[in-house]
Amino acid sequence: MSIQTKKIKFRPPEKANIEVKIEDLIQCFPEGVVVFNAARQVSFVNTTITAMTGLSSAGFDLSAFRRLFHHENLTNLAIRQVFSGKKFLHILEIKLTRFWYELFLLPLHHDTTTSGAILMLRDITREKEIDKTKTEFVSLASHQLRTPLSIMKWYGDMLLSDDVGRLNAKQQRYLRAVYESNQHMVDLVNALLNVSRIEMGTFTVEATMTNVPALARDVINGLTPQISSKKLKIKTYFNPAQLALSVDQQLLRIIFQNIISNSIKYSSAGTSIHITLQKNSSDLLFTVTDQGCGIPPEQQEKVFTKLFRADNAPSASPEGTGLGLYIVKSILDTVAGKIRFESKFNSGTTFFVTLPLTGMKSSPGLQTLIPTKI
Amino acid sequence: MITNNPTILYVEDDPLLSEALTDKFTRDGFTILTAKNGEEGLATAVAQHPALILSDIIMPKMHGLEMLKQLRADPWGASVPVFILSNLSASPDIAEAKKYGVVEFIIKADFTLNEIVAKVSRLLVAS
Repeated sequence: MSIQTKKIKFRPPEKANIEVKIEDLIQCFPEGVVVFNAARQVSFVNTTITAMTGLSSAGFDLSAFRRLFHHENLTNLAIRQVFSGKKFLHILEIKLTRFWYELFLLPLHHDTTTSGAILMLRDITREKEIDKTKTEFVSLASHQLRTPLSIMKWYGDMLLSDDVGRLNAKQQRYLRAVYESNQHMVDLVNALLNVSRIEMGTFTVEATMTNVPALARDVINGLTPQISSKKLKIKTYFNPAQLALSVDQQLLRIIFQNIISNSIKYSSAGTSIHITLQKNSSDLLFTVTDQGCGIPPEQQEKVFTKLFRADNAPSASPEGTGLGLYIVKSILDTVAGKIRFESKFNSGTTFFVTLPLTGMKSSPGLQTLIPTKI
Repeated sequence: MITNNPTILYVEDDPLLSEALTDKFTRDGFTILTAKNGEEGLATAVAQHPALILSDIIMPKMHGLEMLKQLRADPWGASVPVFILSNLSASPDIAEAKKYGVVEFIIKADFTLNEIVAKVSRLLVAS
């Protein structure tokens, strides 16, 4: 059968001649907008910002605005810098009565001169409410999950410690399986809570001067039971032996603990783990090298993803959560650190973590990350 | 093992957790008073003057932080050591508890009873 084709003439529609006034366009914006000229006088105010602030075009000036919104970054200096074209001002969250806004104050440029500024307010109240609901849900869910886990932990520990009579070998073995699975659930709940706090961007960084080698030694000491049970040889090289850096101790402890305990988990009995701290010209390098099972090459790109465990991981260590390295990388991304690794399947892995010598910058947040208990 | 048989008040609404901790602390040489909510806990604390108070937060009738706030208003209660034993780990709750001078904020699921006994014993010896 032949298919007949037919040429169709297509004529594009004539260009519509629509005149759009910029001001009419801005009146439609859901964001509040104020345009200032170079003399900081108001050129234009849209109805949205009047609804948000109660300030009309007549009464709108930056002093009135500053009196209404109180924020440590909304300073005369910051405003001067915007109008001189040097910087823009961005405030992630600013509150007025029960509403939350994101604020932008941006210089306007005409050719090479600054011709004024534009103020934009975006209503983020609904997003804040959703975040609060998510935080409360996660907090409540983890609290509800932890209650039965606590009960199993407490009773299990008392039975295993012969507090109420001696168990036979088989009873011990069965109960230990229950206890360890329960502990795995406890670790998972803590890790999921941390992931939730990381993903909501709500975790705190509180930097204080810390002796980093001492912290590393403390983490290693805390892992003594796991190290001894596998008869592992730990070799450390810390240069210098003492180094004070401005870091969040809890976050650094989570980083050290996750990487070192991973090496322990995936090392065979009797092998060695080398842990080093080296101060370079601009950063501190922390490395952990093991002779463990390594990571299959085709899976290495997924190592820092959530809930990923390499195919050979569960047999080496059934209790991993698949969240530790995701959490470590997320922390390092936040504090301007870096992490990478080199791994050879069935031979071993080295993790490299760098932190700038300027340390971690403190930033406020709603939650701290849950410390990993040692 | 502790030798002078100190009295501890444990405020907890979950009966299984209450029983487990009571059994363990009693075996290890403590005298345990129990209360199942903040209201009972406050009344017992003020009447019995325990050496230390262990308290949950989320409880019916009166939660742990409200109990703590009212306890600190009492002349004796202003200085009694308090450990919070909770499964909440939200920073605002921890900060609120620390405002009332708790000596420890422990997540129950993260600690065995042996570890809690050790912490309590160390604190009582130090004080």
